[in-house]
Amino acid sequence: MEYHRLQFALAAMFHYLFPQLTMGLSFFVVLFKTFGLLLKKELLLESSRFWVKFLALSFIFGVVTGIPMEFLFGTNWSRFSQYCGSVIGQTLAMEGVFAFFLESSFLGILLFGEKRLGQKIHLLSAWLVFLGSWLSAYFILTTNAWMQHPIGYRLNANNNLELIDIRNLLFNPWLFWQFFHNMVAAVVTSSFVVCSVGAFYKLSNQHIPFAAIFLKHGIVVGLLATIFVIFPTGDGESKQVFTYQPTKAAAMEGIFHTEKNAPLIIFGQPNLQTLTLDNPLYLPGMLSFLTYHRFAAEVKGLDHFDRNQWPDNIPLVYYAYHIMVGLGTYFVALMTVAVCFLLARNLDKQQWLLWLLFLSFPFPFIANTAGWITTEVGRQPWVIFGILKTADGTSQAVNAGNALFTLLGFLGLYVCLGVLFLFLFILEISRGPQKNVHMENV
Amino acid sequence: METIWFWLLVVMFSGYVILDGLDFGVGMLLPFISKNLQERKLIYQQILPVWDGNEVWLIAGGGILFFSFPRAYAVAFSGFYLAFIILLWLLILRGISIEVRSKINHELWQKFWDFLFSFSSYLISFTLGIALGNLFRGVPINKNGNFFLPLWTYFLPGIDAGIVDIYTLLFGFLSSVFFALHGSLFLNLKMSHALQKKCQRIASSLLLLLALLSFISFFWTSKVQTFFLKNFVEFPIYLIFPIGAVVCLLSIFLSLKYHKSFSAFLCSSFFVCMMLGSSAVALYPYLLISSIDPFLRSLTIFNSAASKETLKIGLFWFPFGFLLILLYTIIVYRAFKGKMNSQDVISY
Repeated sequence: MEYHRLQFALAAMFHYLFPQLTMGLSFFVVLFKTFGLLLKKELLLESSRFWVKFLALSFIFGVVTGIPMEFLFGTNWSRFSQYCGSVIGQTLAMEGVFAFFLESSFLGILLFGEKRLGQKIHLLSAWLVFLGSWLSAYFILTTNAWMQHPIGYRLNANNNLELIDIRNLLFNPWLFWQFFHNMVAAVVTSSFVVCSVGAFYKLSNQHIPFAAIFLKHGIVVGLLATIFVIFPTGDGESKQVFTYQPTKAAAMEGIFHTEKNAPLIIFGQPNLQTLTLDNPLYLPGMLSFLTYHRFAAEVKGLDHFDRNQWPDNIPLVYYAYHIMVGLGTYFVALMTVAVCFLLARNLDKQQWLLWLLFLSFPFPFIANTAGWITTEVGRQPWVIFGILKTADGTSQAVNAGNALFTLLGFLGLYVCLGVLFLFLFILEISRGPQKNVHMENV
Repeated sequence: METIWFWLLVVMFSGYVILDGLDFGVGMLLPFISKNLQERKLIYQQILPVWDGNEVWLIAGGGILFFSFPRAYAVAFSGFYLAFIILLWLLILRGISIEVRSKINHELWQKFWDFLFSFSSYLISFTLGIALGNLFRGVPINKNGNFFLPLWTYFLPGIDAGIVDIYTLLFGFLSSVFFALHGSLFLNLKMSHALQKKCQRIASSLLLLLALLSFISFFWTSKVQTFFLKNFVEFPIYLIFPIGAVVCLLSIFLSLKYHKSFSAFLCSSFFVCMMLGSSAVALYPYLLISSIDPFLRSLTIFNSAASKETLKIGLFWFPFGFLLILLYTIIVYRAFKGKMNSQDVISY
């Protein structure tokens, strides 16, 4: 089972590096394109052309690493697929039919059709690509939300789950915060990437008009997104975890013992022998207050639950969550400072700030991944929360030797893909936007 | 209800084979028909805007298999584990090479990706045929209701054959030849002058080979699983599929002769629909035949389908979605229609 889990985790984490960028960048492309046409600013249109190239790059890497995701359910998790395929297969099929077709068809037009089809259709296809990529996320998150918070199903005669009402699946209450939290986090990623490229051009004194545009839009969108990702979406998401998945909540906050006036842990290492935190730094009562708006409120610790209900890797859930929250706090701080200097029209002279903006682009990727680790590892030992254990979902027919073979294969392939992606990304940055103008005119 | 979804699946996979088939074919032909860089660029340009849309048919088809026949999805994908994962790797390599190739204008860079593109196109075309062969031949589904097949054992068809044996290899050849033909007819439609001539020459010889292989595989299959003819005997109306396939083959031949490139491509698309339709009629109601005990342990559309309610729910949204898919596909192909010549090469 370990290899099945590792392989799926590797495939999912690596895959998600790309869609978060695609979804966020499609937002920026639409932004630049729409305002470019409205305000008749060639510079903004050119910016949109520039970022479309990165959008396409991350889209393609997302597609090729995404195709395995759908089929890994069958290859490695056949008992899980058989058990709940008629529920989650439904949303996966809808993703393909409604979202993915839209996105990939119109990306072709967005990339190659500007001269052939004119500005109006080109703008429309930018919007449709944006819509497609966000719709795609909606259906995938629907699937995940159901695994986190299964509703609207029943057991049928063959002992498999079946859907009673598709509305429950599509409008799962869990989905609301999860969707917005996740999507805003994708916008955070892209705004940091846009800022980073802008800061790089500024620092290296090239493509200056574009640097200013990227910085301005990246920072403003970035500030809004980084705030929104914490409040209300992050707050809402964590509250529903406390309500419905108290074991996950306790693990991620590092709360071993049920207590009133529960502390908010800032720093510390979970010690599974003594069931305490080593080197704790905390704010007393803060967790109770944030979760229940009362300092005296009781927060259930892990000791409240049977050990076989505990997530099987508590330290990982704890660290992943704290990394996400810590980085999220840093994002807000950085963007707030940046907006202040932007408003004071003084950003250009702040070398240190430009350096920070330039070098911070990897962090949102880490924060997104950490968030997903929290939610997925925190759900253990369940694959469908409260219904099916992960260990009961694997493919019985596939032995460990074969699973390790394919795990290593994926590992090797994905290392190469990662290197290739970075290489191409840097290459496009070094080519810059202006060269693009030149090429378009040829 | 199960039957409806069975046929919808056939439609989805036919759509996939017709559309992605053309870019597999282009990949296979690339090393043979393009002399210089300019020609290659032009050929790539035909598939760049459309190939990932084509591939979505696979994703949508897979999703529909997943929810309408969850048991078949689960058993087949874990049973063909290695073959499927390797197919996934090839699909990754192929998609990457199409997109990445044009990013750098350097001979070595492009040669490398060209090679990878053709190589993976060949292997994928082969694998898809082999998969179809496995559906006909049956797999050793045991009493637990699952199976695991090694990639190969000793290549002879029999109870302990692997995924690849000479019978399934035949289907591998058949599908590769078809994809190559389909791709050449597509390029025939899109290219002009010298390239078009070359495509026509290749297409004519592939056509003969395809006819030959189709007949061999038809006769061999009727020997492998004798009950395949049953449905045709009981419902002679379905003979329309095999007869249609033969008619399509002839009309490809005629269209080529009279230089009707669009109708040639259309006929080749219909041909594969007819072939898959014939296969579906022959297999019906089986999805995956057990070679150990075909009548007790096989997966049929009835014992592996989702519940009637689930399938009904699916029917609410699917027709609407399917219309959208057709619409998008038509829009995209219309947007990039027409013949290309070397002036149309765009840099990006």
